[in-house]
Amino acid sequence: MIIVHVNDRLGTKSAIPCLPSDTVGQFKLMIAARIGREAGQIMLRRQGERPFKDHITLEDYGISNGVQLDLEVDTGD
Amino acid sequence: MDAATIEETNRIRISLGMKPLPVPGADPAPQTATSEEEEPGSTVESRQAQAYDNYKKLQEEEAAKKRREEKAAAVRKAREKAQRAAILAGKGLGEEEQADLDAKSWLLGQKKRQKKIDKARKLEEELAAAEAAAAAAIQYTSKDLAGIKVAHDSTAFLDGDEQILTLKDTTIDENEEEGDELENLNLREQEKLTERLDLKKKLKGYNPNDYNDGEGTILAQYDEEINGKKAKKFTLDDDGAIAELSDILGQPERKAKKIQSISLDDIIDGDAAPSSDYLAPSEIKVKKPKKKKGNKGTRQKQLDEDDIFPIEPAPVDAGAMDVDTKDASIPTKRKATTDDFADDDDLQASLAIQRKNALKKRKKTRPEDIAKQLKEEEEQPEEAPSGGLVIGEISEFVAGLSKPDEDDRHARRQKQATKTPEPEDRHMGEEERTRKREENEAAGIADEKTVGEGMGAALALLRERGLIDSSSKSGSYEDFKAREEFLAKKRILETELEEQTRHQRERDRMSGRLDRMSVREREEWARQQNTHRDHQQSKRLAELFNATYKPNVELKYVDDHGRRLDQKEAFKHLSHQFHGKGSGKGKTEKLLKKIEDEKRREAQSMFDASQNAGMNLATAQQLKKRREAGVRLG
Repeated sequence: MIIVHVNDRLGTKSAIPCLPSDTVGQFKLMIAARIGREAGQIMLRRQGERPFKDHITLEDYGISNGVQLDLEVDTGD
Repeated sequence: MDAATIEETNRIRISLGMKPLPVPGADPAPQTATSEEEEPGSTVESRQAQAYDNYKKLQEEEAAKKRREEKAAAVRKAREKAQRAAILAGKGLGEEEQADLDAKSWLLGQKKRQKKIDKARKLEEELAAAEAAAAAAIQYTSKDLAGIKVAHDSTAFLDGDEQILTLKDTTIDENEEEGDELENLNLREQEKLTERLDLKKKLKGYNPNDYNDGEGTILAQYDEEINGKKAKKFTLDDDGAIAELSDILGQPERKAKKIQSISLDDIIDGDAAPSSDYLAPSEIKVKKPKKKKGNKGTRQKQLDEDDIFPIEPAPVDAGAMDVDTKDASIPTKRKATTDDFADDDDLQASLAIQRKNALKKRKKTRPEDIAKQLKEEEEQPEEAPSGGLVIGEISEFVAGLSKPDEDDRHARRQKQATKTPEPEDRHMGEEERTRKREENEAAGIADEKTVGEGMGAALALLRERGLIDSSSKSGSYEDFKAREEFLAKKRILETELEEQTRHQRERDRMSGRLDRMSVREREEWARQQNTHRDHQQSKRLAELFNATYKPNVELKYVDDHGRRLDQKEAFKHLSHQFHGKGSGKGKTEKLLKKIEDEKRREAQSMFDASQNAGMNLATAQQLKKRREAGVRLG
């Protein structure tokens, strides 16, 4: 089990426990349950990198315990 | 993270259909059981473990391979080493053949060997001694220094101290140019020091009084800067001494073999007549050469150019200055050129002999003679320069102009000389004039008319220049005449009318008609009469005007400079006046320049070629006048 921090740098920050084998899509569902925004509107990315895709696991993105991800609003484009 | 949160998360996860997270406090047993049930490679963890195993295996394999290779390399190395050792076994080149001699025989041969070594050593010593002796025998004497320059003034060595000279430090180029030079460093430094001190003193400068005696060049103080410094140098001779120094040292000076250079011009300047290369024509004895076929053409020519120059006998007296005038020089020269070139050697030889003789003669002249000669020359009044031929640009040009004329005249004179020699002189003046004109016309240039000859000439000149329109209006004279006539008639009529009125007034007064009238009536009547008369007179004048007056209307516009303006210019002028605003600066300047040009052109001579050679403006005008495109030159 790993704990991943998500932060939108505007005041919303939370630590979410998950498994490295979870996909990004599942991880987004958990974030949605925690912060109250719809999963479809969440975009995750490491700082300075491209947004994560939903069907790829956290492990594949090299996300380990204690990593902080940027949380942004996905406007669809 | 506490267990409560994780459990809550697990709840969510399970609701989403995801695997729950392991709770720290919970029992992990069921998980291990499930992992045993799973087949290998089905989960991530097992796959990861497998991957790690694989990696470990690979690394081990690599290490084993490395170890194997190392072992193989060591084996190969050892084998090669063994092989090398095997080749080196056996006897080498340096090893003695009889190495296996026993001690006794070695001792026996020892003496022999010792002797051999001694002999070689002795030989070496002898050679060295001989070399040393040879080296000692060579002495470096003053003879070796002969011809070497010393870069100092010879007076610098008069002190008698021993001075050490070293080869001057130069670049290779300089050395190639000047050769080796010796110098003393101390002396050199001293020289530099004195030079610097001199410069500081600033003694040099322009002193006008220095130049008065006439020696030296102008502004001699700059000679060093312009021509570079004159290095003080002298050359060592065989004794290692110097010729200049020898007299100071009290030795007999060696005679320097100086070649006296004598200018050949000096020889010719001598008073002896035959010293010149050229003989006066009276002295020439021409050997009649055997007839040669080659030069027939030049000999047969009747009109030899020699005839142009009157041959006067050159002064034979020895005292006269022998100037090679043209007439004297020509005959010999021509002879030299017309003869075959093979004769040149003879000529040169004879000339050489002649010069040598002259030189001998010259050597005999003593100083007294020279003094006497100088005195004579001073006493003689300066002669006017002899009329030699001066060839300059102008004379060349003139010659080019008059060339055809001269030939022409020459031929004509020749002709006349054959026919009638007497009347030539009488007609010469007249003929000359006419011929001149002809020739001028032949050359394509007409005589320019001059204003001084009269009104007609002036008019012709103006017309030639195009200043007056030559195609004058033919009707203008008629017009003028008519106008004059009209004016005369008018005048006559006017006088006639005046007479009439006077008569009438007289008659009225005489008739006594006025006496009967009162003053007012009289005035009234006079006015009436006057109007009536005026009416009559104007009627008559009108008749006259109708009959004869033909006005010639011509609008003339004149600008500020007094120039006539044509239609365009006049319009512009009026327009400017109307608007109260003239042209700008540029246009005004252009106009002024145009006017200036016009003036100059009008003043210019037709043959003034200074502007643009040949086709100047005046000629262009002339061409326009003649309606020809081009210049006739012949």
